[in-house]
Amino acid sequence: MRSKTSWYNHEMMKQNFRQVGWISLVYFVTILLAVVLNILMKLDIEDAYYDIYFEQPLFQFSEVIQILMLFAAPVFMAMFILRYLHQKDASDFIHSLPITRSKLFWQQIGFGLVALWLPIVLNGILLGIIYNFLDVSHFFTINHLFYWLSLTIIILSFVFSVSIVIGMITGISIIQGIFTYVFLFFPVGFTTLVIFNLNFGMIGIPESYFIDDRIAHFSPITDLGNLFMFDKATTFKLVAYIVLTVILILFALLLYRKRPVEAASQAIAFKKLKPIFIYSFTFCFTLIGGFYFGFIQQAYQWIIIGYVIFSLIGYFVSQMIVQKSWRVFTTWREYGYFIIGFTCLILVILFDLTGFENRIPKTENIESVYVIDDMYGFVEREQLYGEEQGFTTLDDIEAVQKLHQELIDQADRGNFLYADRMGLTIRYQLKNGRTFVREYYITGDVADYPLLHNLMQTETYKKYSEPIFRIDEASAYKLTFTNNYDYKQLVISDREQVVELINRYREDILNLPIQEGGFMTEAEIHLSNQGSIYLNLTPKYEGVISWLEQEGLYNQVMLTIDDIETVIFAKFTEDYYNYSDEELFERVLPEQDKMTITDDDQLEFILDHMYGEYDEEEYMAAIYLKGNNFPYVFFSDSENVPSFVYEYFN
Amino acid sequence: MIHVQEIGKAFGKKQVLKGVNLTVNKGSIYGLLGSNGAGKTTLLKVLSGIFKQDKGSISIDQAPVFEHVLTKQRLIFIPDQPYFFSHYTVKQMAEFYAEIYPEWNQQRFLHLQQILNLDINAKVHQFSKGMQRQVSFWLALSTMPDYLILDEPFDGLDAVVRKKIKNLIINDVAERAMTVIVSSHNLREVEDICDHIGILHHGQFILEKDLDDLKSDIHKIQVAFKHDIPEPLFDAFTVLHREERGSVHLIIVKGNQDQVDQVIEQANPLVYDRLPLTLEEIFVYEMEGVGYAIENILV
Repeated sequence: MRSKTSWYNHEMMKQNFRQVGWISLVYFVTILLAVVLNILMKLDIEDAYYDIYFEQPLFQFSEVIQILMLFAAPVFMAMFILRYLHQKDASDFIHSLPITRSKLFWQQIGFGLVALWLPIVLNGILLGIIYNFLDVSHFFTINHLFYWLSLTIIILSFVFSVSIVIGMITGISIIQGIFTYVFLFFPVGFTTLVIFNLNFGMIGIPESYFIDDRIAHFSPITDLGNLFMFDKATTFKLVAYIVLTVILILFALLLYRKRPVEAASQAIAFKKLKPIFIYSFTFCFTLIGGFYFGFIQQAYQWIIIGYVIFSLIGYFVSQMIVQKSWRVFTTWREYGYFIIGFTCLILVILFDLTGFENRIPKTENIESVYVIDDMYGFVEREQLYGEEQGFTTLDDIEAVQKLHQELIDQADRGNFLYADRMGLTIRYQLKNGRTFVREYYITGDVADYPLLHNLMQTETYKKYSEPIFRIDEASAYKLTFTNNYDYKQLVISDREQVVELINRYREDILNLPIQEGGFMTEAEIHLSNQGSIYLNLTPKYEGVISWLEQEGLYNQVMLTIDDIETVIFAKFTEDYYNYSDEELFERVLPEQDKMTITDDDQLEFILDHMYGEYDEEEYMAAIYLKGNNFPYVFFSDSENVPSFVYEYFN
Repeated sequence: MIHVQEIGKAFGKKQVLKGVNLTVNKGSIYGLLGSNGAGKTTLLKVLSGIFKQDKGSISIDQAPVFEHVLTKQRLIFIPDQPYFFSHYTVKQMAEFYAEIYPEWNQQRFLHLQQILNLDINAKVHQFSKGMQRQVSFWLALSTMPDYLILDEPFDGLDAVVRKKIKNLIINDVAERAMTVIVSSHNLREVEDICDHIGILHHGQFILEKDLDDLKSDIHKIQVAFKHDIPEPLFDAFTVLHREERGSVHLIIVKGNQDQVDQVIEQANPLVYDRLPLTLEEIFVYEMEGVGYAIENILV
């Protein structure tokens, strides 16, 4: 007997090529047009102005098309390469042939991967040729080319392997396609849904900490920004993708060996997976219902209604998929189990059986702790300047714990419902290396929380909250003061002066109460490697002001009474929203409702004392600067308005 | 030799095969009969190594089939709807088979083309149903299989094509001792080529017979006596069926032919005829004996 032991079947490859070759071709041509020709076209224009926003410029050429293809090509490839599993007659035919499943599997997977890689590799070679023969240094470097090649290949392979696993689980190609994207998005979507829903009932869950910061990395779809725009910290990620791809492919092989051939054209190939599918699908839909109604209606009864409606939708849709029939409305048993389970879950959370809500780490376990009122900015600063120093002294830690207890005591399940809530995060670094995070909502003013107010006045808090303490003054090369939309501007580019000002700012900020808002003058510190930071300047920044006075620059930065034509005060009226500022103050407001100030002492007082915006808008004022036709409008409440204004109106 | 022991197979909750036993000798043609939904196709797909049985074992020449390349190289399954890759010509399909099956015989392929007289460069999908069926046999027989498993191969074909295909099969069985299993829901379609017949009903065999034995074993006789029929006459035989028209008795009896002749001649009947029995009649009477109405199971 003639025995063939070749590891692949030439004829099977030919058949594959006929079936999926077009995908490779389309992909190749798309990338050729979108990237290679795009670069050539831009080269041709002599002084092409081309802005590179991405760290990885090759992804910036027709990025939308590149991203679409990056996620469409591998899914189509997987669908067509496993098409034989999903068609009854083809499945019977192929599995009646004298080829083992392992060999079939490796042939198909290998072919699919090569067919995906080839278009990118060929385009990469073309780019390499262009790189060698033409000057494209302002577009990309050889490192960018390698990163582009490897990242594209890794993502293609990863998405392909996810789709292969789904293709093994289902017997219908269209479900394979749809559920590949569902699963790619699943880690991010599911975590978001769970946290968002837990937030309804679990007091202290650090919603923004999880949702803003971490989970975008969980799916290549949401992680694209990180992958394309930055090139730091990606080596670990790329290795993780490769490892996951290998694991997924091996898992798919395992599934294939167990997969019954008769599963072709069934929604779910494995009997044991059917209930798992039904329950998880229903669960996700229930969470979507909570998310939707929690977002739109923000009321408990609506959230419950959302759970009920969406769990029913999810349940029957999953039954329809599994049974491949519309007539599923007589099967209620699993739904009953689901509702019982879900209710138990809600009760566990509401009665806090896990002790989540009242847990505060013990003092002896705490390394340091942060109180954070702008989670987003905090994370950004951590990324830019490295880890920040939190509260470490025993007194401070105990104060935070007390504040934490106070927040727990006054927390109400309905707090998340208020639109004007303020998020407050408490983050403990524990001695065992773990992080313990809770997030609460407070309404009203920081001043209502003396513990919080005091913590915010500490040096530690200011140092980790204000970027000025974190920047490297040696890299600051310019400082710009701007007053009232360029009415006055001063640029200081002497490095020593810039450093002096930064140090004075640091001192001033430590001395000032934290809540000082800004008014009229803004400073921008330009850094050579970290962008810019922005600061306010008011008369209370004594160090900075005295330096300006000393250098004779005060008048170039700050407003003085000589700059002011007049200031008009009025009580706040709703007309403010209907008219432009000029119209309002010059024509709409009747003369008796206005107080026009021209007295130098009064103007001086206004400039020295009014620099903020206040919570309640009770008074408004228009400042007319000399040489400006339009006024600058600001607001005040009755407590902070100058007494001569208050008396005039009362 | 195909040896099947206690095969069970379920799809979901539906038990399709319930402990099927079957032995098919080398060089024989086995007719698998049964109504739609009896489990014929499932049994054939299990035999071909497409489905994996839940219970029981299968061996072909002492080797398993499922995932067993060497066995499958010698076995071809032709489904009721033959499958071809879309847009493939006969020639391209032949190239595919030639690579997959090591025993592919190109001369045989070309020789069969002369018999079948089909265009080798035409796309298979453009052929009529009968022609497609012929192509599937053409390709299958060119791989020189030792085992050929056919699911409803004659269904919906005209008499000419049917005849052609039967001749092809019989030829290979005679020349190379190929073993064939052929399923049908119609006894008349297969009775002329099979030497064994099994009837599958609700996932179980209710009857398995060697046709030669069957035909020599069952007799339809017509007898008339001057007086009443002497009662102990048939005690030595199994009477499957009996009716009276006046003084003429029509009896279906099971037993050795010479013995039957002898016993009846001794009773000195006025009339004694042995009438020919069709295979269908034999089944009808046999099944009556076991309590089934065959009309409900076949045709």
